[in-house]
Amino acid sequence: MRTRLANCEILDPEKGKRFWGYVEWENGVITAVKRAGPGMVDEPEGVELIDGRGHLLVPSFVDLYADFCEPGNEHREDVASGSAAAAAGGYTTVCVRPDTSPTIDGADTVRFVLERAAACGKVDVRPLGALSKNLAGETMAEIGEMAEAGVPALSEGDTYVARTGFLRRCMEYGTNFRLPILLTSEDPTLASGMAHEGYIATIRGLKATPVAAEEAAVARHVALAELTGARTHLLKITSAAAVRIVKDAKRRGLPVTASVTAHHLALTETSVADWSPAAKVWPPCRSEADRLALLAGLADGTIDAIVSDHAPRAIEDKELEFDLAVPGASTLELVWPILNRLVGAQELDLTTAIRALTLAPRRLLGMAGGSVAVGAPADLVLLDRASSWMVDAVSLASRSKSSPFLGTTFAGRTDMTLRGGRVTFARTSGR
Amino acid sequence: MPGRTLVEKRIIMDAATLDATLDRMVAGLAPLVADGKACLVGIQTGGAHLARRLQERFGVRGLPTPPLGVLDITLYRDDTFLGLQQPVVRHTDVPFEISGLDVILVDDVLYTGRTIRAALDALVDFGRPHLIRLAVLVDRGLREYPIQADVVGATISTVACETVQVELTEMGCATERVVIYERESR
Amino acid sequence: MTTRMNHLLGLEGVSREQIQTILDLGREFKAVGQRRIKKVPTLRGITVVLMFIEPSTRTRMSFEVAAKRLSADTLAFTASTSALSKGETLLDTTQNIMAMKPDVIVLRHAFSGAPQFLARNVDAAVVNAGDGQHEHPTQALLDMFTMQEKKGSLEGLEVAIVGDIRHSRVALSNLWGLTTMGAKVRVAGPRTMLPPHLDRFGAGVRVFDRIEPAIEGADVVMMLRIQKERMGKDLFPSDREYARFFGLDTAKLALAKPDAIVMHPGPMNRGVEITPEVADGGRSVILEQVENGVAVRMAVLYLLSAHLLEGA
Repeated sequence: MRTRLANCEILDPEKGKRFWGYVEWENGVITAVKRAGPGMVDEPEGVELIDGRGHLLVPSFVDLYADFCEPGNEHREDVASGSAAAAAGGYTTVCVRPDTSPTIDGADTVRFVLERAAACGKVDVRPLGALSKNLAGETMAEIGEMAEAGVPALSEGDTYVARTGFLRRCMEYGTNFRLPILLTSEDPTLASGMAHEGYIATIRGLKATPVAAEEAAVARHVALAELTGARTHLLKITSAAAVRIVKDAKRRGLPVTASVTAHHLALTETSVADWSPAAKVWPPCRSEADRLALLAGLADGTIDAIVSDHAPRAIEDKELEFDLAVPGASTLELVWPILNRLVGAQELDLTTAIRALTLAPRRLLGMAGGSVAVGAPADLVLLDRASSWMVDAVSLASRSKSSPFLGTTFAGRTDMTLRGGRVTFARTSGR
Repeated sequence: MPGRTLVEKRIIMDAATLDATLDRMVAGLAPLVADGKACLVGIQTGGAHLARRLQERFGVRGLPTPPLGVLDITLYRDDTFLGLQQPVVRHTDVPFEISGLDVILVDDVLYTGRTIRAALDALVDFGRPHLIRLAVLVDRGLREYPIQADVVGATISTVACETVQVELTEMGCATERVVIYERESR
Repeated sequence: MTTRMNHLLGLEGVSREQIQTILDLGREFKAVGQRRIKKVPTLRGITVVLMFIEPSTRTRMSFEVAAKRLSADTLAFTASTSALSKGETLLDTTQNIMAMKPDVIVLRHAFSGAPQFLARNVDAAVVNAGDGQHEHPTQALLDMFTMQEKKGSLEGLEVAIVGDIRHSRVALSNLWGLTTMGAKVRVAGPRTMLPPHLDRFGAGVRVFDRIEPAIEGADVVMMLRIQKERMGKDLFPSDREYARFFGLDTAKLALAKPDAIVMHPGPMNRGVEITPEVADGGRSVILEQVENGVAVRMAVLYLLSAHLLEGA
């Protein structure tokens, strides 16, 4: 059954082209990409028609790092609700964190998550494999078996591997199975709290962590990348210092890549100035200078991908004093609106943003696709760039409604997500 | 008063009359002061100024000069604080032991009697006076509490929408007088 | 006259006029404390709850005396923070207390931002009696009251604050208050105890890493307590070294003006940040700070509750 999606503006991040037209697919593969004027003009026989309503059509998003909390913390989110949130956010593939309960450190937990994902069917959920058993940082997890079971990459989640020598061994062993390593970077002995060590933390009396904690960890990870040759990805970096180190590493040809979250591109340390637990995220949002450096890093290619860092939290996790509140925010459905706003404010280029959401993450995972071209999978998303809407509990599909953007009005949201040519999410019914 | 203007209605006393009235009050209080066991306590702010003037005149007449204290009754009031502004607590200074003394409580205008009630509560916290006599420059009637003055400068008849103000040079007024104003409500 | 105060959560952003009103009122309330009957009936019928989640005897007693001298009713609630985090949340605890219809809640808490959290969620006036490393406004107010009483005016006054600034909510509140009132502040301590960005408080604040230049020519020397129980290790090597390089003794005090006063929020570590000679010496006003604390807290309770007495 041929399907045509017409009346849309197509942006192909691979070729960097942008034009009005229509796209056709059959059996989940794109069969035609043609230029045409706006509007539903042609109505060919035997073709299922979808009206793009003048929206922007791009490849669907791929996320490198999100928390679906299952197994163990289903009150926050599970694979089904997380998939719904991801599809609503424009994602067709999501890599989920291994720091669940129990940890994803063996083939059986990998298969469990894959089964849950298949049962739901909306999103291609790929569990990341932990480096160490139970994230204890002592014994290596069964990396080979996990690779066989289908993990796309390895990660220790938000945990810092204390023993550098152990991390080296894990990275080396991972190369046997061609698996990239996704690492978060913060030296816990330099970290005193969950705010950025700066002016706001000083006058608000917040326990804080300096940029040096990230910088030291990033430097360590780059050194190990050089030593082991492992493909090392630095997740959710937050500082100008980290950008500088990554830029240097790339210049020297090291196998280092990096990502940033959408909220770190938009928020700074001022977001916690009123001790709002909803704004408590990890790593913390830093100074304006850091935020601008992240935007610049994305623009010049130092930062490859945008990652959601979807970290759903229940009400009881957040209705507490700032110090006790669990860090994290529900982000999958807000990534596009946040980026659209930055594009509108001319802080970010649209094609760069789309590339960081679609092409770069696929390349990092060795996936095909990431372009709107004949032969590519029909994994697409229609992006509304103008509709005004307010973030509230009702408008979010995730089980977790906690976000620093609660109550914010955005212009732009996802309109329709297609996976393999099938609609996994539609903002308005009957399309 | 926010949102209200005061319109001058009647001048009860001019400077000369005010002066003569104070003399009469001094004469009326003389027996109390004569045995040297009296003290003056003026209620902030008008009463305090008047108490000071009375104290001076006792001396001029050759009478013993009673010690002078000033009392702010804001912390003892029972009525409303009249709006959102913070009431100002003025200075209270009674630098002598009042127990056993004859206290002459002085105020400028006696009206509902609530201010005097508060002043009596405050005085009693300072000690146990032998007796308390009340001296006021103007009694304008409309009492809400069973309080009367022992020495009165002038008794006048007023209505609630009027306000009686004693204007003294100590308060920065150019001309000394006692005036009835009418509150023009908006 | 100033606009009505709804809460006292900190001195950041509090105007000069408001601070001066509190200090002026404090004078009258100090006089009440010097009479035979140390009581006025002003806040009769008002209920003040003392919620001291982080324990403190001195501050709690000071607030209790202040409330009682105003004839208010007091309820003391103490709990360790660990008990709260194990089960009942701060919000739950507060809702229980709200059932008793308090008019004012005085809160001391180990976490900064807790008073703001309370103020957003309860229908009572909130006074911050110290939240984590953030602010302790009534302490700074009584410090400024003491300075003003002894020195006449805060404008242009040279004030030295020495010690663990990083972990001191007293220091932060004083920095806000003193700079608002036009005083010139010098801050000194080991670098491990100086937070970044103190220079953002404006030209009124200078930072030193030795005590001597900070004290030189000062009108007021305020020594902060080394809070052994609050901080981790590694901030300084030993009490002896701290006392030698950053503690106040008679020799160092001689660098200040001849009539400089010595202050300390208490309790003191005699022999560490201050020698007994200086603590008990003629320039110390430490005991008066305690008396002034009651007066200033009376002024604060009065200002927060006065509007509640508006007639039916």
